[in-house]
Amino acid sequence: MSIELEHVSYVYNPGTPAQWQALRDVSLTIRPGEFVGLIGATGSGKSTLVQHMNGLLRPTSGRVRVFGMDTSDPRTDLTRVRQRVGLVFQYPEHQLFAATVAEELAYGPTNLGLAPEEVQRRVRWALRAVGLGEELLTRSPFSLSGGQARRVALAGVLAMRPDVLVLDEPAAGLDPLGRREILDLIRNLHREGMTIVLVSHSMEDVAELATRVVVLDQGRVVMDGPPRELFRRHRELAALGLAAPVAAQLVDALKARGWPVPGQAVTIREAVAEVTAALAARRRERRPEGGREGGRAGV
Amino acid sequence: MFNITLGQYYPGRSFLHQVDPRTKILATLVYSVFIFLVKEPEGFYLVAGFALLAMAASRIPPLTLIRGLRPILIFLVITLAFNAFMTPGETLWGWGPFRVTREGLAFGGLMALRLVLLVLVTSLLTLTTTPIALTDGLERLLRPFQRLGLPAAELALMMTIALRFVPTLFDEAQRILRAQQARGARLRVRGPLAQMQALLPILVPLFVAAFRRADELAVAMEARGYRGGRGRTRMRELRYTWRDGVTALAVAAFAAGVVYLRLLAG
Repeated sequence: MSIELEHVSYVYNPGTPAQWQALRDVSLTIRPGEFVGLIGATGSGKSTLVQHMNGLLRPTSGRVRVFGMDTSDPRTDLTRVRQRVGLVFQYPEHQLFAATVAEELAYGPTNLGLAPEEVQRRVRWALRAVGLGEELLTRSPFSLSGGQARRVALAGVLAMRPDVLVLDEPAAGLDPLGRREILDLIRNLHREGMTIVLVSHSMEDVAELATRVVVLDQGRVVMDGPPRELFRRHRELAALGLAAPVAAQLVDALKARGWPVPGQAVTIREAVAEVTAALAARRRERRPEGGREGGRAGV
Repeated sequence: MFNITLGQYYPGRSFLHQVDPRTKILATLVYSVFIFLVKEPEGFYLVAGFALLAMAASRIPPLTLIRGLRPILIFLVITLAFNAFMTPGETLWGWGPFRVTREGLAFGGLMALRLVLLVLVTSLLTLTTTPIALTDGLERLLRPFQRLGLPAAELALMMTIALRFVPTLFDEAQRILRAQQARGARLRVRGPLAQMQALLPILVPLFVAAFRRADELAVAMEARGYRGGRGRTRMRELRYTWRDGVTALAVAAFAAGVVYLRLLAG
């Protein structure tokens, strides 16, 4: 098991007027090779939860084990925990600080105490992994475009060679192309065997990428399962302030109106396939009738 | 981690909350000066009494006020110890060349009491006055000096902005700190040079963020027609009420009492 959370609760500012319970009895296991989508309305505890996954926060009660290491145990070396679970915060380009991209990428591996040659190897590997060329190594990270800076920041975490990568809204604030690039990149990392936890507001992204979806509401895990199953329950999701992917809502509405669609789609591509198949079937039905146009036009 | 009570508004509608900020600023100033004129024990009843009266008029839980004293605890200990050892007089306790004297203990105690009261009263000002009201008050008080070339409106605006963004920057610092910790950052390292280097990954992004915010704020202000202080009308007009009269009388009585005791002793 990669990450195990057992009955985790977390309270911010205990004993003050600003006391706030962010997590309530969360039990969750992240298995190797999974792609977990973590969704929930603002304030549902997503960010607090992901910070437990690499020991940045320690549970007020309950236990978190990362590859067997208990993060609350004072003997646990948290640097080792953070090496195995890479955490990419929202707008990670805001944490860039070094004079060159090379130095920026070397920061994590150097903190791990690796030999200089190994650090250099990882710097080059990480840069390639995010699809950037080596000509960027000598550039200042502050001179890069938004999408490039985001990818350099991501590479800065990847250079630590984590087994699990946790990303908080990695595509937020990017243009459609930059968004596409980042998501493709994450998909590739997963294909190459990395375990991924993706926090996102975008149901579309989660539907497309995740193999499992966990829904948080007011600090509790309220749903946990395959995206296809979960996004069928869009009434429940709506009650939690979340919307199922547009594609799932569309095929459900069509099915309710009597269209011959399976109603299983959760991504746009799948919805297109279902609708075109239904249209093709309808055309085949009509042809023998002798070209009479009409019926329910406009549906 | 970054919990600073000084400068944190405590919402309420007590007598002190409703006193005009100008009155409160001036009263605090007078108190801060007169507290150092007091030398006799009787005088300390007066300064302590005034502080207690102000605390009562603020309706702020004493515990909140006392918690605000925590940052100055180290100063209090140093003040007390320094005076106790360094003042010549009747020795109470000695160890080698170090002697604690009765006079030193008494003097150090009074100094520490002064410090406590000073911090209590100044934090009452910031606890019962919103930062905005505070800068409004300061701007009004500084306006006469505008003739002498003092940019009062600009100074007040700078203060408002600084106050507004202090918590934001603290949040930002914490976020950056976490992000760098996720990359294995170690903040506790040996040696001053290594310590500075360890802080760079936090300070650089923090400065970048501050400049980005400043840029955005400048654009947002210009977009809403800000052209400097001249000719601006204000949304909140300051007005004196009977409460300001009462406060002024109390301050005057206090000041007169201190001067009277000084003359008696002198």
